Amino acid sequence: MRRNAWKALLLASAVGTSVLSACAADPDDSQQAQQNTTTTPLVTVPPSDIEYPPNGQSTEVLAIDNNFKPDALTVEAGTEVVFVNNGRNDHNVVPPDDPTVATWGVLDENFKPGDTYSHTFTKPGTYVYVCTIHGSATFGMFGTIVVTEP
Amino acid sequence: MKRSIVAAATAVALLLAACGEERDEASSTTAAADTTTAESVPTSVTDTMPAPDTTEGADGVINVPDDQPTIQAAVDAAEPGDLILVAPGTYNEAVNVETENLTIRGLDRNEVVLDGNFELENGIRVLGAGGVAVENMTAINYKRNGFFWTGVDGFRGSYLTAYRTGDYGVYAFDSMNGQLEHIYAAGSPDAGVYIGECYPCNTVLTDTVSEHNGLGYSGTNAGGNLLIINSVFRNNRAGIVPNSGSYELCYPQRETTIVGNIVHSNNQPDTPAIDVALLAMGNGILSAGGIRNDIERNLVFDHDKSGIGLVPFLEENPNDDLPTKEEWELTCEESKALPLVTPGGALLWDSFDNRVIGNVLEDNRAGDIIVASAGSDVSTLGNCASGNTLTFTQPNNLETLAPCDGTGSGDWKDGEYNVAAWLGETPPPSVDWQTATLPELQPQENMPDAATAPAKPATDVPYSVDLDAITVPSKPA
Repeated sequence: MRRNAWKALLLASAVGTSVLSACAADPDDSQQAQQNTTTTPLVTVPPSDIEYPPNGQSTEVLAIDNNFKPDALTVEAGTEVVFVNNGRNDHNVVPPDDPTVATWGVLDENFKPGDTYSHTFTKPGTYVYVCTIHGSATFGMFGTIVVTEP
Repeated sequence: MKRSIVAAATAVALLLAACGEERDEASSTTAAADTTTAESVPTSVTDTMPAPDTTEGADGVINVPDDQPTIQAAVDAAEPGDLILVAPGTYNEAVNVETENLTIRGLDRNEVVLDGNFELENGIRVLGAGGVAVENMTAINYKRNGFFWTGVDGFRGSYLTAYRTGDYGVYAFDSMNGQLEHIYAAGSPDAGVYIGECYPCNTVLTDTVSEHNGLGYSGTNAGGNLLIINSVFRNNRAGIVPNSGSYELCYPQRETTIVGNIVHSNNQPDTPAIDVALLAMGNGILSAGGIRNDIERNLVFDHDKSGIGLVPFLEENPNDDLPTKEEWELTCEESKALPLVTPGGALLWDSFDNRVIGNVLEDNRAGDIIVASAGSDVSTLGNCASGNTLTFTQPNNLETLAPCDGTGSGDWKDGEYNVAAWLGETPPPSVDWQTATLPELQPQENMPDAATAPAKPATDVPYSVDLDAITVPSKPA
């Protein structure tokens, strides 16, 4: 419980940071203002319209039973994030607003113990993800990646 | 060598009694330990509170389907403290609960059936909501778990049946202060009942039957006032398996008290089984890298390998290095704050400081008690055995080598057991959990007064246990 409260606080902070950093790049000021005033911390900040090429950097997120480690990560746009299922159970990596992982993420049939999944985050923003088997966007096995401008 | 049962030493009894102390005496009820010798397990919870008005629309009571069409709708409409009464029927739902202190009760354990149709994940999943009690119902055919609590302080599962589930039957993860009682679990490739990632857990598992699973019970990194008592674990690949590993947090596994159980015939070759269940096959009670467990007054028989084994677990692809002995003292929450340190290679989790006392063991064909390592000097691990009724141990004369109440002597190399050989064995492969042959689901004991008993959220658990009163069960007919 304490861990998740801490995580929510961290995420709220991360969201705010990302929103602020994205303001200069996003022409839609009214939308940004609306996001800045939100009181719900667990919101995926839409990625900016600016896309950055892969930068050759890679970092790892472990999916163990039933935690993402680290569960809060900040990377520069263009960085590859490799998710590794090093638990004994199936997991998945699913954006809460994209349950079919059309944009990014991996479903459990493709993320069994020992499997890896990688995605290069090319647009700044805050990306929330959850293992839908063992958590929700507000509790349990979830994490966030803040992608900053290079 | 035949030895007679001796009564547990006073100090041990005191220690065990202390382990079973409830956390809040003022608010808990006392349930006398069930010392039945039969394999069926009786009611042990009584309730003297006045019956509520459970008629439709009564305050705090939501009837399904009369008031709400589904269990999920009832949960969503409920306020903390409410009682949800579920009428007989089949419910194709995966229920998520995020409201605390609910009591979710089936009116008939055998006729309130949550059916996942091999498509849904969990029958009932409680996410972070403390105090939720789930009672008197059955979950079948779920891809993951029948009943699942995660990240909660206070949970109770009573009179639950979990049958043919893809991970666990009843699953408590990262949760503390719990009571699991009158459980029947069959047909899970991992464990019929699993308690993981908690220290101290402050949890009691009692009056349970777990069969035809990969493991009857598994408890990774779980312990600290965790009692497994008065239950039956039979015909699984392996029976009761507390274990350590860095594939989840809060390692190592510590301080589980296993008393008064019947553990037999855990050599079942045709169950679904994950890899560790295959590796553990043929063992009754197996500490795989467990520490400071008390294993007392159990009846353990008919195993191809050990009746009680204290062995290492080899973790080939770990996520962290081994915890130091100082880190053994950290609570789960404290240890979560430590950074992961990627180790250079595999980890060997030895079993340390376990006590095996007063058990009755027979026909365990590789040894009634086996203590082994795969590289460590097993004489230095601090495990002990006393007062067991047995035929032979490996190493030989274990109770002379390592008595729990005195100084040992003898040759640890005499009858040394090669546990590493297990890694080279080829047990019968896992069977698809969806199609595995299981015992036909028999009617299970109903909760008393399900229609009239008041809401009873899990705010007073675990119930106190008189461990001293538990005796070795008699062999079933």
